[in-house]
Amino acid sequence: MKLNRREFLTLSGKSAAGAVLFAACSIPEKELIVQSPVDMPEDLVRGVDQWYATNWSEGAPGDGILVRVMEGRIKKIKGNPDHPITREGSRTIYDTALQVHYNPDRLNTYKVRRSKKGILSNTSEAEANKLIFEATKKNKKIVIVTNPTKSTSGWVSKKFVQSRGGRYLTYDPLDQYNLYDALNDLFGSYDLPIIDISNSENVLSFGADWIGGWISPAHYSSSYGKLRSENRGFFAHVEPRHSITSAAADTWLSPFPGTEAEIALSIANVIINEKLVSDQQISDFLKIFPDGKIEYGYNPSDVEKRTGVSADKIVEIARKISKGKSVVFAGGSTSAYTNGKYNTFVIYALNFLLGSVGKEGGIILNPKVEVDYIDGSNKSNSIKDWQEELAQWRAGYVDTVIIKGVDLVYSMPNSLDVKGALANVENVISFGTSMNETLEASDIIIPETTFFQDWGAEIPNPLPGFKTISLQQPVVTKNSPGTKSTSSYVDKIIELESSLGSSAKSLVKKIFDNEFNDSDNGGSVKAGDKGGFLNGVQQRGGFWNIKQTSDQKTPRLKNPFKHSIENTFSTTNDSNEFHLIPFTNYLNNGKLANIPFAQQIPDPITSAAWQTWVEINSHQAEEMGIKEGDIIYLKSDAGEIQCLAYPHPAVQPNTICVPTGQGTLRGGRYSEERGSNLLKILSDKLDPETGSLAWASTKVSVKRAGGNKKFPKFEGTVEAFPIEPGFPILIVAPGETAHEAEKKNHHKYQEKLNLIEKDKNNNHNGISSEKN
Amino acid sequence: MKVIVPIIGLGGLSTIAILAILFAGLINAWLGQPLPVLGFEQTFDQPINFPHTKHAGPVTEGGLGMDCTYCHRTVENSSSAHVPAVELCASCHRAIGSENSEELKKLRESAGIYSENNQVIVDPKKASPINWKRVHRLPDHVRFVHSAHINYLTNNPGAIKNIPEHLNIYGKENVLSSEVCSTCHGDVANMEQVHQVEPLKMGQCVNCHRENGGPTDCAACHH
Amino acid sequence: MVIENKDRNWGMVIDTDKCTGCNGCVIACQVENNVPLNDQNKFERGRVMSWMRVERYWEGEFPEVKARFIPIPCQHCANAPCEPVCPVYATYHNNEGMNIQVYNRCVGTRYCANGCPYIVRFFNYWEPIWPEEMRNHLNPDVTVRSRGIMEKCSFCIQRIRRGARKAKEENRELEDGEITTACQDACSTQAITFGDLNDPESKVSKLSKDDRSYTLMPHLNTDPNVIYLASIKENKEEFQEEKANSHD
Repeated sequence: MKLNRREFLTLSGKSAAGAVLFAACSIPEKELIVQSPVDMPEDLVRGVDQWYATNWSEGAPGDGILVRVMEGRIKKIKGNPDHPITREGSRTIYDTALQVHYNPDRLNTYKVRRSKKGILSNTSEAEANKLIFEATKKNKKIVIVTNPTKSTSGWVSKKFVQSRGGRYLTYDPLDQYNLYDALNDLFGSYDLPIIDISNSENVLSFGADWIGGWISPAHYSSSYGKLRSENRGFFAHVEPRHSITSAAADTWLSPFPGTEAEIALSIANVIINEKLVSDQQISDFLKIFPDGKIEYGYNPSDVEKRTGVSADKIVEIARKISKGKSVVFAGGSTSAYTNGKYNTFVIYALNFLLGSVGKEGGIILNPKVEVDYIDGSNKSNSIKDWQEELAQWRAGYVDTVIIKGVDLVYSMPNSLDVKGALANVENVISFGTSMNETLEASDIIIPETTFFQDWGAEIPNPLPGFKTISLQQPVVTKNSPGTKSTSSYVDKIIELESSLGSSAKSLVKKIFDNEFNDSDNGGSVKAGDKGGFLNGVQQRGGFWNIKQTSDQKTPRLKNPFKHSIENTFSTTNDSNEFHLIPFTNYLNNGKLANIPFAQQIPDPITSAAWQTWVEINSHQAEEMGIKEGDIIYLKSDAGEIQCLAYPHPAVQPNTICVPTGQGTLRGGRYSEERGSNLLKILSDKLDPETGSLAWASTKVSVKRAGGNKKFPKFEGTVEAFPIEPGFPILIVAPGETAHEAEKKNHHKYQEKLNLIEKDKNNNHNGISSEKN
Repeated sequence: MKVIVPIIGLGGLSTIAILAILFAGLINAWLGQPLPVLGFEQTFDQPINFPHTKHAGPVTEGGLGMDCTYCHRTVENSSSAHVPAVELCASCHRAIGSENSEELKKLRESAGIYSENNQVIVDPKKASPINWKRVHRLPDHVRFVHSAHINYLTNNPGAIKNIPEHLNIYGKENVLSSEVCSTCHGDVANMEQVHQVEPLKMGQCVNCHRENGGPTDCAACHH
Repeated sequence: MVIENKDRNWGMVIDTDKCTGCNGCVIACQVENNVPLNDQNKFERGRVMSWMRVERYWEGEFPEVKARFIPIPCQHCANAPCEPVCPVYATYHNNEGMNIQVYNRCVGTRYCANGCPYIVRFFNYWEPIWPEEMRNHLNPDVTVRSRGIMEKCSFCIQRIRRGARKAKEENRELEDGEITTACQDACSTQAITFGDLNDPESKVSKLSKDDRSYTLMPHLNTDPNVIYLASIKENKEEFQEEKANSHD
């Protein structure tokens, strides 16, 4: 036995460690096995990574992404810089899809409930198929419900219900129904226009958290980067809540909820009175008002009283945006009051006053893209539609409901009682990647593929100003490591109705074959034949043609004043009432609640994670005796939830902000028994004009429950830098160098130190930094 | 006294128990080391007794003289040398090889090859992967890249070690990829059962890097 | 024919004016570098591991209030306070301007974390838990650290190695911008730039000489390789007023 010194040391070290840990550190058996697979996929080279261009369709509008695949497993996702929607942009939640795909709670068996009162039990694919086939026969009344989408899956859903004489509906919590409706009145199209922020000089936005998560965050946040490049543009944001968009703005205005339109009209008033734009633009704008003029009462000082926004700021913004290329837009909570449509309409109409419709740096109308095999809608059905629909379900007029991509039971308002309605439907068939409350209430559950495993094509929403089709291609196989026995939604529906085609892949092939025939090589892909064309589309992640734009026609205008102008709030008849402003965070309204990556990204403003918290103004909290981590009951006319308090200085007094997404009753190990479901206490107030849910018009009473919990937040994990004022974020004026600013800060700091020496009891270090 | 005696007894017992557990741990650690710490030349019984001599051995000695990279085909452009898919074995062995060989029977089973009515049928549905035992394993915190080493050695044959007798590469400026493997793996072509011939410990890596001007930065391999 | 055939000095420029605080870099870094999942317990105890973090600072009072964000990775100081205190040389400076953490050397004394003024070093207090399924998405280029080991931002050294290897196999020099870090890829607004500070033509070295450039805690003389660009205060009128006042 040869044993040199080095080996002896290794040996003794290992033995000692082994003895202490009882050999727990020996190498796992598994790692000593190299498996030679049966077939080697042609793209699998060990240790070499492949990047595939595909489409993000986890509840987002056709962003192009690049997926890194190594050893047949998905490793990383980033934005596709080639794609006209994503460009250099990205979304925070892209990487969370890895854990949608590789989730310990991922469904991998079919489940069936054999009688309405029975329990769900695992079953074979064959048996499930038989039951599904039975439930969707020709004479059955079928309703399909999905998330809003304009894609091959939308086309399949629509065609399938047409073949059975059924209906196809969509639902999305915290939807933007009023936005689509108002824009249709204004521009004559339900296709959202694109806001050309990248080329704009002055941006004024209302309510939409467009950097954080509104409509197309990857596109718009990359636009923000461009706005802040070289010729730094001006950006003002009007939103009651301090979102990251508010934080990014040069000027943030926090109006009383529901009064956003008044600010817009006041700005218009200033521009018209001071004649800051051409007469033509003024008359264009005034056409939409009853007597061709804005009513009295919109001068800034009056508006200040009604909105809480300083008149000086309104005048300043009005003067600023009337010069150069400007754009005004709205969304998010602004269009979700009972006067949401009116708000949205008036704000977008400002673009006529500024002459920025259809121009670079303004609002660019999108072409209507009609493609065979792609259908559906980005606009979800309104709550009014849903009330009618659920009445049908309850009455037993519907035999079969097929649900995909939306958790109805979790996300619909309490008043609709969707669970009760589903109980009266004979067959509820649900697709899902992991369990949720709707799947729990279903009769047949089909384990679904993720978008990494399936073919598809989607039309982005909004389009980037020209025709674009995003391609979704499988980057891993259906039975790749970590997932098994999953079925594609499109393939499954096609199985039930063979006249639709043969498979998702064949549909996608047909779409791009048609594009090849039509394109006369003017688009993003140039090829000699269909095969080469599809290859090119697969390489770039889609097909787009910058020449196929809209003609930016003169839009039709409707008088907004027939809409409800006043916002009416729900009430709890409590003296201590607060406006409730719900917002969407990384959990994407609960869709990503069981994804640890999504749960543990600290919220940018509060740095909180894993919980439902309530943001409350720090001064008001102090008055009410509320401290961080106090358990708070929020009670509305629809229900009551419990969450943890987080007071901070940037909340409007008498307003509280609460994120959605937590509190699922059935989800998985990372989401169950965690936080509260805010969507359930939203009042059922509707915008009377459109019948959509006014999800920002709820008022709640705030009560302390008496307990206090440790608040799960990132803040305080590391110390804030205890240094000079202005640090670590140095702020310079335009044209000033960092060195000059540092000197100035140092000077201020010295002054402060002198003050401290005079009054030692008042020992503040004078920095506005996070508290530890 | 009445109190102390039981305490001593208990103490003694527990000391013995602790020693016994520690000893058991020691034995376990010793035996449980999957890679032999002493004498790494140990061989493994593989699921199929694959004869490298037959496939890669020199023609003069009855082998087929196949190039290493025919099976380990990604070694030149990836970090891993790649164990071939059963598919690749089957591409030859659906036709070649004795009907009665025990080892080939196992291979045919894995590859889903069977004959029916004098016709050879390959059915991937009946195929199953082979779980080979790993002979050369580096710890988790080492990032070893085959391609970089192969590239260097093919252009600098002077650094090649353990050159097998049948290879004549002395004085050449460029050699084939398959002629450099011996530096770390020894003369695999002449091994009945593959075993590790070099210690593959960090000392060996660093020595070679020093001799050849390779990076000796820790972060070259550990990250 | 060695990888470091040219002395490089990898550096990063972060434009705080473009940073929106979206946390995209934080999660991208975590996924790329197999940083353990932070469960609620870690948040409550203040033991969150985040190689890249976004700090939020409040400025002013409502309604003139503003949250400001600054992303902070390891600063890769040329004069790193963490390096001399390590008793086992597990952290050192290499010839590419990077502060390296060698996991297999680290014994977990945590001296380096005490020494770091930027608090960018994180200690594995618990064995990281990765459910069987989630192990599939772990990056095979990066070691999965175990309990008792200090870790921190590595400037995505695995990407640098991969890029350098590729360039060498193709017999060419590395191009500027060819190597990107995970946080840079995930930054929607292009606030993060990465490259070789020794190359005077690189984008990162040009930005590092910008008028707005500064480093964190310059008085400590750590000479970081992460350079920040100051945010810009928009309100010109207010600024001029302030300037006028300061002259008085």
